[in-house]
Parts: sequence; C-alpha cells; structure tokens
Amino acid sequence: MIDCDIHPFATEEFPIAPHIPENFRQAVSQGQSSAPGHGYQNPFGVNRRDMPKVHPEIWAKEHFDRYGIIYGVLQPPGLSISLTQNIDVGCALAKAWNDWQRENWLAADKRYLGSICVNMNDPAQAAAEIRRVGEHPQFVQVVTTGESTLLYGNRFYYPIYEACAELGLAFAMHPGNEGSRTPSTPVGMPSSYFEWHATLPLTYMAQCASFICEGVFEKFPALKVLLVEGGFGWLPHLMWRMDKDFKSLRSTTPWLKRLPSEYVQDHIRVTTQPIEETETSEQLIQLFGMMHAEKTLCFASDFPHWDFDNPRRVFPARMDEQLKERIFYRNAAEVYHLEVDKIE
Amino acid sequence: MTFTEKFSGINNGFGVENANEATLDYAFNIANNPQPPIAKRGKEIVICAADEIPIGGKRIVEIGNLSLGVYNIKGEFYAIKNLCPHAGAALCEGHIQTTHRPGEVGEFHPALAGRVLRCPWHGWEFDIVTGKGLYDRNSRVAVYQTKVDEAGNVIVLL
Repeated sequence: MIDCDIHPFATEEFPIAPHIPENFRQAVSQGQSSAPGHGYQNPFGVNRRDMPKVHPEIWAKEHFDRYGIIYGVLQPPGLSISLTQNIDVGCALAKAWNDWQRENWLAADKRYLGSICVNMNDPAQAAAEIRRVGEHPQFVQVVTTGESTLLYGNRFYYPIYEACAELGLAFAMHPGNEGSRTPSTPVGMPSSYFEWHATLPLTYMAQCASFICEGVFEKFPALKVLLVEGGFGWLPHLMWRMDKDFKSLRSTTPWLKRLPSEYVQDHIRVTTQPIEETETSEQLIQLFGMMHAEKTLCFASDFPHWDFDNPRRVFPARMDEQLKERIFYRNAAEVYHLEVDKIE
Repeated sequence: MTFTEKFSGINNGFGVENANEATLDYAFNIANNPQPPIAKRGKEIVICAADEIPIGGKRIVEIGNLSLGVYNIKGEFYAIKNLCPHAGAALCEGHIQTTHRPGEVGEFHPALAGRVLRCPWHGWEFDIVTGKGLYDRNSRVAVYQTKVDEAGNVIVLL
C-alpha cells in the first residue's frame, strides 16, 4: 500500500529554523516570511486527538506498520510556501522545508517519500530548487497549494514542469490556505471552515481544466499531475463537460490532439481521502467506473489529520480486488516510478 | 477505454485501417484528401440555376424527406445532408467558417478556409467537402456528388 498524504510538521525536537539559509534568517526574524493566511480555522484542530507524537520512528510504527504501508508521501507545511508575500524569502523557506524533510524524515526510514516544496511565483528559482534536491531517490514529487497567482496551465510555470519531467517527478497540489490572496471560491469568501473545506474541489476543477486546455501535456508528455485531498466525484463531470466542449470548441485550442478525458486518464491523478461517502456502496463503485479509477485514483489517508481515512474501512467490502490493488498501490507506484511488483 | 478504442470497428465509410493514427490527424487527413462521396444511385435532382447560388452562398432544398444544403465554395458546388448527427439540428443553418488544424502548443494554423460548417446548436465542426466531423475520428455527415449540366443547372446525384 502507498499512502499519498502524510502530514509531518516542525516541532521543538525537529525545528525548521536551523534549515533556513543563513542569509535569510534576518529577513525571517523581521517577519518577511509572512503570508496572508485565509482566516479559516478548524475549531476542533486539524490533528487527530489520538495523534502519536511527531517522530519518524513512532509514525512509521503507528501508521506504516499498523496498516502495511510500503511508502508514505510526506506533505509538509512548506507546500503553502508560494503564498509567502516576499518572493525570495518564499524561495528560501522552500529550501528549508526540503532540507528538513531530507534530514529528519527521508534519512530516518526509506518508506518516507518526500515532496519538493517550491515557490511557484519564481519559476526559475523553483526549477533550480527542483534540480538541487530532485536527484534524491526519495523525493518523488513537487508540491504546491491549489491556490495560485495564475492558473497552473499558464506557460509562466513551464520551467517548473520542465524540471519535473526531466527528473521524473510528479507535480502535486495539496490544499493549503486557499483563500489567502484571492477568495477560495470564484465568487467570494466562504463564511466558515466547513464551507471553505467543502468547496475546495472548485480550485482543482479549475487547475485541471487549465492544465489540459493550455496544452501542458502536449508540451510535457511525461508530466503527471496529482490532485491531493480534493475529492474525485467532480472528475467524471469535468471529463464529460470538457469532452463535450471539445467537440464544439476544439479549433480554439488546436494544439489539443485528443479528447480532454484522454489527457485526464493519462496525466491527472486524484487521491481518495476524504472519500466520497455515497448513499450506497454501489454508487461509489459506479463512480470509480465513471472516473476510470483503475488509472486515475490513488489511496491517501491524510494521517494524522482529523478527517483521516482508515485503509481497512475506506472501500466497500464487495469491490474488485484488482481495482483495489490499483488504487492502493499500482497507480501511485507508476506515477512515482516505484517498483510495481512490491505488493503488500 | 480510449475514445479511439470505443469506436474502433465501426465502419463509417472511411474504414479503420489506420487505427493507430492520431484521431484528429486522421480527421484532417480525410478532409485534405477528399474521398468520393457516398455511392450515388443514379438519381439526378435539379436544384436551381448555378448562378442562383453565388460563391460563398448556399441553398437548402427538400427532396422528399431528405433536406440538403447545397453550397458554392470557390465556384464548386457541394451538397451535404442538413442534419447534425449529434442532436438532430438543421446543420446547414450553421455558419461557414475556417478552423484551426492540430498543431503545437501556442500555434494557430488556420485550415479548411471557407468550407467548415459549424452546427448552429453546439458548434460541432464539419468539413462540407467530405462531411467529416473535425472533432473526432469517425463522425461524418453524408455528402452527395454534384455537377453543373449543360444548361447551367446545379444537379445533385442521389
């Protein structure tokens, strides 16, 4: 089993400060690392009440060993670093989070896989950072938040995708403070954490359509994009809608050679958590069929967050074993170029 | 299943022998290398005098239950069935435009100038000359042979 979403964070025992490049410590101490924030707090906290102490060995035992997880992909707080106001400080903090992961987590256990944090607002520096750490075998993807200055299909970001493709890294998005610079929905600010959280998939729908319509996958045929923790029930809808529009409007994007849903199946991956809790388990199975889950869906637990999915309970009992294996292991293994035969 | 796989095996009159060819390239190749229109049965229908349809113009005619659009494109006459295979719209009520052929990201290559019929409902594009849909591999609309007889009338062969 591969878990695509695990959330470590800095503690007194594993602080971030020593990893900040020395020449940026003064700027950080002056508050130049500030980011606007979105203003939504889960009033009950974001971590499970029974969260084990933050420690790579303890988490490996409490999470990996307990569920038979072979690899777990870290999604560190640095995934939101692109929301930092100061561009250079943002780039420096991205480096800090990458070194923090490498030294504290990747070095502790081979089962931890890292996500390279980058500041999307400076694609040249981001690409350089990807090349600085991307050769490490345990870094498997680049991660950033779903909120962006420009939609991610924009060619402004090409240097980042070029570096990803060159190093065989996936490009992942994970929610992180959406609503900081622009409202988290296209039509205004939600009034509660509940509403904010429930509408996060809107961001992913926009980013997914942008990647496809702008032709990023024609430009970078090796690129895989992973949309983490943003649901998947919207994916069939978007595929059908884009395919329909393609028939009418193809000539406005003449670089698209195939149906949008075919680009989705080849390049877009979504994760399971928080699982869509349909009225009946049959409906969930139907949804898997509609979205081609045998290609597009990867398991994630979101450990140790409040809406954690238990891999033993997350899928209907009567579900095709091969499909389960694709979702639990093979789809992610293919995206991350891991040994596909190492099945639990 | 890919779109191509889904429709492979459907004999649409253009064959599926080049199933590996990219879907849209295939569609545009057909448009660029017109095949003979579907088999004629020898029935010749007089539409009107050729000079009644000026270059760039059209005439919609009803022949029994069949509705046709007859177009004058650069002095040549083309006849296409007035029925969109998608949702049943009167296709020939649509505008004639130019499309863009498939190309690299950021490039626009105008193509099939003046012979692309856009369905009036959903904008699906068809090449008037071949009837080929320009958005997928297999869709097409029936087209019919035409000629201008010695008296100067446009004839459609059904």
